[in-house]
Order: sequence, then structure tokens, then C-alpha cells
Amino acid sequence: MKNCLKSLIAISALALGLTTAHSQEPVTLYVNSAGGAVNEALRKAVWDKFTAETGIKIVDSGPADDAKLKAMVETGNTEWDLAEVNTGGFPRAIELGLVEKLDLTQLPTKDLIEGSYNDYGVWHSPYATVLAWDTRVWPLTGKHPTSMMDLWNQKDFPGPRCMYKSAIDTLELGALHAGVAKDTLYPIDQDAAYKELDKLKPDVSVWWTTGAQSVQALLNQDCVMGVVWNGRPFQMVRQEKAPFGVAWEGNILHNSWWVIPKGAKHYKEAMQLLAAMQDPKAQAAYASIIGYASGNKLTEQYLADDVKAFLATSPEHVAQAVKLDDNWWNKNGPAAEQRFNTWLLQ
Amino acid sequence: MVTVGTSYESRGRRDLRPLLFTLLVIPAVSLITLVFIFPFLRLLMQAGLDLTHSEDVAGTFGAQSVLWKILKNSVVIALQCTVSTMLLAYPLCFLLTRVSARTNRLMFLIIMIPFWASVLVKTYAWIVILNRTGIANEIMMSTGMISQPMRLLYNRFAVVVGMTHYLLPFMIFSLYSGMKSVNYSMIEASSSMGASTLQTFLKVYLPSTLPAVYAGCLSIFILAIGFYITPALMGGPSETMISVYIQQQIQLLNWSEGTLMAACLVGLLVVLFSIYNWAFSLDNLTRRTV
Repeated sequence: MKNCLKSLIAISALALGLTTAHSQEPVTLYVNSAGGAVNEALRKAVWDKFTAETGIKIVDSGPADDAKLKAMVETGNTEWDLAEVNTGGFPRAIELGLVEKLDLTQLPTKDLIEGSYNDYGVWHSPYATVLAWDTRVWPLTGKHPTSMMDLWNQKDFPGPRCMYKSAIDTLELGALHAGVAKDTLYPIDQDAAYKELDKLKPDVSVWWTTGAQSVQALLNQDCVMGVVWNGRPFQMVRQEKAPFGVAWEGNILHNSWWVIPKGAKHYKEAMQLLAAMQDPKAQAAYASIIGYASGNKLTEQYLADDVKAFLATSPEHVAQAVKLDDNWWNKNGPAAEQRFNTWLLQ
Repeated sequence: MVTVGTSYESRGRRDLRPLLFTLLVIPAVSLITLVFIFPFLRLLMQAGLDLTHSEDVAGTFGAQSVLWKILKNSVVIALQCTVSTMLLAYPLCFLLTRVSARTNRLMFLIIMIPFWASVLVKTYAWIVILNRTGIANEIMMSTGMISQPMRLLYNRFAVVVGMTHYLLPFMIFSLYSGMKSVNYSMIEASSSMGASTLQTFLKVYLPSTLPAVYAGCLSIFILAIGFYITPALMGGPSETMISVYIQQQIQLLNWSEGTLMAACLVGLLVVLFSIYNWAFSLDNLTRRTV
């Protein structure tokens, strides 16, 4: 009987050893990012090479979705190994304990821009909310909009406007037009902002909800100028010769972050991919496809001038920018959106 | 008459029916319990807990004016869509019952093809048609009907057009089945007794199609009030419907509020569906007694 038990244990130990040996199969990483053009660019610029070198496959999904992240972590079923989080969502995710601490020793931190990484996240692609206008109406050679504040300038640039249907950016623009200085914008004086937005509201023909819609409306002439994310006009001007001009004065600079969701099944491989995405050449390739920059300081030397002209992180654009305060939006976002929705419905 | 006949014939096998009924219903009911009822109740309980623990109860309910406005919007838009599909489908269905079998098949094919297309495709197609430089404006400009492009998109008109297009086939199915069973000898009798066409329509035809009209309108209203894609992509701010609002709340991680709104929507639908069910069985009842 004792012998029998012993051999049983031995056999099961052997079987266990066999199964662990079997699990050395190639890992598949599940990455959630903005989706669409962004994921495609990431795949072309970084992921394909990464898979070829390491054998680690990447399955991607989109868009970035804070609600899904929360649901996954809270139900203990984390599907994503790496995920993008945006404005306000990043500090909130840390607060709610939705993300793992990163192993920063694996990243080339000395080459990364200050503030582009911390214990919980690394820059995905900083982007800017800019003003795009229709060059069929105001050609680049003549008098044309130069600032976000031209949204209010019906005298020189008459016509309908397109705006982002969100309190984010819209409140900043309102406060800027009320005359608040860029560096003292936060906390946002919402009453002052809404006073200015009240003046703008009758001219807004489209309150868009997706990035594709923002440029489509301009192209269809549903508006003559509008608020867009900087990567959109970059892709359309370069690929389709779309008639868009971009004004940077008063642009709003956003960070987006890569995080490893709490309970991710492949932490080690996710860190490996994060490190691969900090490679300056890969970042340059990504920027050239999509028009969004990343956090490595060495990337700039690999970029063509006509790409730099569209990047949110180019020094002259940063000098004209308002840096969006993630912490303010984390604390005040839900209430601000509620007030914004009420205002829109009035 | 037909129902009586069936129940008579199956009387001999009646003892098997409860068992068979249970077996047939188990898969569907367990699926719905597992993927809908259970998670929904859990979310609802969580939302209730969150709200009772939260200090911001006042803030949550402070937003009530927005909620009422959105709820009112949703109801009004759903009503507008119900009326417009009704007005379009009624004459069409009458025609469908009067044409030859071949034409009937052809007409149904034409109705069904767009029905099978995805709602997203249809919505984008309407955006192409209705935008400032779109086909609709171009035609009206070139024929001299208007001199300036009209604003046809991102407003109530666009939303009602888009939703009506999507909902029309559902109304047609509902009305057609009702109209097909209208007894034409009654209409012949009415006109042979000297009633005018209008009188025959108002006193004989219309009343006998009314059950189908009610059923159709209720089902369209139920489908319309939960709409998401069309109002989100083709509407302006005042076309924010309840589903769009729920999605916003979920994205902002205001889950308790989003869930409560979803519960309100489900509650409203349950009430409407009960009415629908009641009216529908009433309709069967009257038919059996006739």
C-alpha cells in the first residue's frame, strides 16, 4: 500500500514536470490601445519586429477603455497584458489600484524625457488637441487662422465650427478665451469658461464624438474649422492630400500612458514589449506613420522635418501649449462632464 | 377557427406537453439567466450599495434635471420614429396585400436587402447623403430648390430619418401579418351595401387592422427608445438619448449612476412589453371568439 502511494506520487510529480515543460510554448500578449490606425502603426513600427525577434505574438484590441479595465481587474479576469489609459484615467487607475508597478530597471530611463515615466506608466503617445481649418476657404498663402482662439473670431473667419463633445479641452479653451494665462489655467474657472463657451455655442454645427468624425466633418464642409487631435490631420494631409491647415497656438497637450493592468498574465513579456517600444528608431518609425510622438529624447534625430511639423512634442509646439492637468481631471472630471452635458442640452 | 382545430387534434398527446415544454425552454432560460439576469442583478445591487455608501448622493441626484431632459428626449424621439414608420408602412403594407404573388415577393426582397445591412453601414450612408456637400444638398442646389446648402445632419431630422430607415422593416412585418388576415368579404359586403370607399376604410378596414397597428407601434417604440448608434453619430447635443448617456456614465466610471439609468430603461421596457403582451393576447382572444 505504501509503495503504491509512493509510485503514485512519483507518477504525478512526473506528470506535473511534463506539463510545465509543455507550457514553454510561445506566449501571446494581449495589448489594448486606441485601435484603428494607431494599432496598425504600432504593429508596423514595433510589434512585427518584436514578434520576429522573441517569438512572442501580439493580439491587439481597442479603443482605450477605462471602464473595461476596471471591470477586468475587479472581476479578477485580466485579459490585457498591456493597456493604454488617457486623460484623467491614469491617476484614477493608480488610485483604484488597477495597475501593476513597472520594473523600471528594464527601461532606458536615462534617455526618456523627464515626466514621461513613473512607477506605474510610460508615455504611449502624447498628443495635442489643435485647431484644423479648411484650406479651400482660407489658403495657407493668405490670411488664415493661427490660434485656437480663432474659434471665436467670426469677424475674420466666419462659418460653422466643429467641437469635441466633452468637457475635456472645451473647458480649457473657454478659460483661455476668458483671458486666463496658460500656466495658471488650473484649477479651471468653469464659470468664466462657460461665459465664453455660451458665445461660441451658436456657431457650433457639429459636436463630434470620434476622431474620424472630427476630420470627416471638416472634409464634408459641415464646418470650416474645428478642434481635432493632431495625428488626424497629419495622416490625412500626408496620405490623402486633404485640404487642412493646423494652428498650434493654445494647443492642449495630453499624455497617454502604457500601463500593465493588475493581475496581467504575462507581466514579464509585457515589460519586454514596453522596453522594445522605447527604442528611438521604433518610435521614429511610429511617429512617421501616425504623427504621434513618444517619450525617448533620442527619437528626434531620426525624424524628418515634415513629421516634426505635426508632432505635439516638437519644442515650438510645446511652447504654445497648455499642458493638460491629469490630476485636476481625475478629481473634477465626472462633475465637470455632468455640468458640460447639462450645458449642452440647454 | 384554426386554433380550435389544433387544440382538438393535440388533445390525445396533451400529457407529454408540460415535460416537452420544460425541456425546450431550459436552454434559452438558462442562457438568459446566466448572461443577462444574473449579471444585471449583481450590478444593480452594487449600484445600490455604492449609492448608499457614497457621500455624494446629493450630487448624483443633483443631475436629475439632465436625466429628465434625456429621458424626455428619448421618449419624444421614439414617438417621432413610431409615427413616421407607421405612416410609411401602412400604405405600403396595404399594397403588399393587394399585389400579385410575384410582385409581393419582389417588394419583400427590396424591403429585406437594407434590413440585412448593418446599422452602422446605414448610419454612415445617411451621413454621406445628408452632409453639407452630400447628395441631398447637391440635388436640391442643382435643381434650384435652395441656394444655400441646408443643415440636414447633426439634428433631430437626421436622427429620425436614420432611425426610421432602420425600424421600417420591423413595422412592415408587424402590419403585414395583421393586414393579410383581414377578411375581404367584409369589405365587399360594406361597399355592396352602399358605403363609400372612405367609410369602408374608416369603419371596416381600419378597425380590423388596429390590433396590428398597436402591436407594431409598441414594438417600434420599444426598439427605438434604446437606440445608441444613430443618435450618437447623426444627432446634435439635444438628441442625446438614454443609451448614449448610460455609455457616458460608464466611461466616466460613474457605474452606479449608469446602472441605475440602465435599470430605469429596462424597467420601462418591461412595462411596455407587458402592455404589448397583454394587447397581443387580447388580440388573439378576440379573433378566437369571432
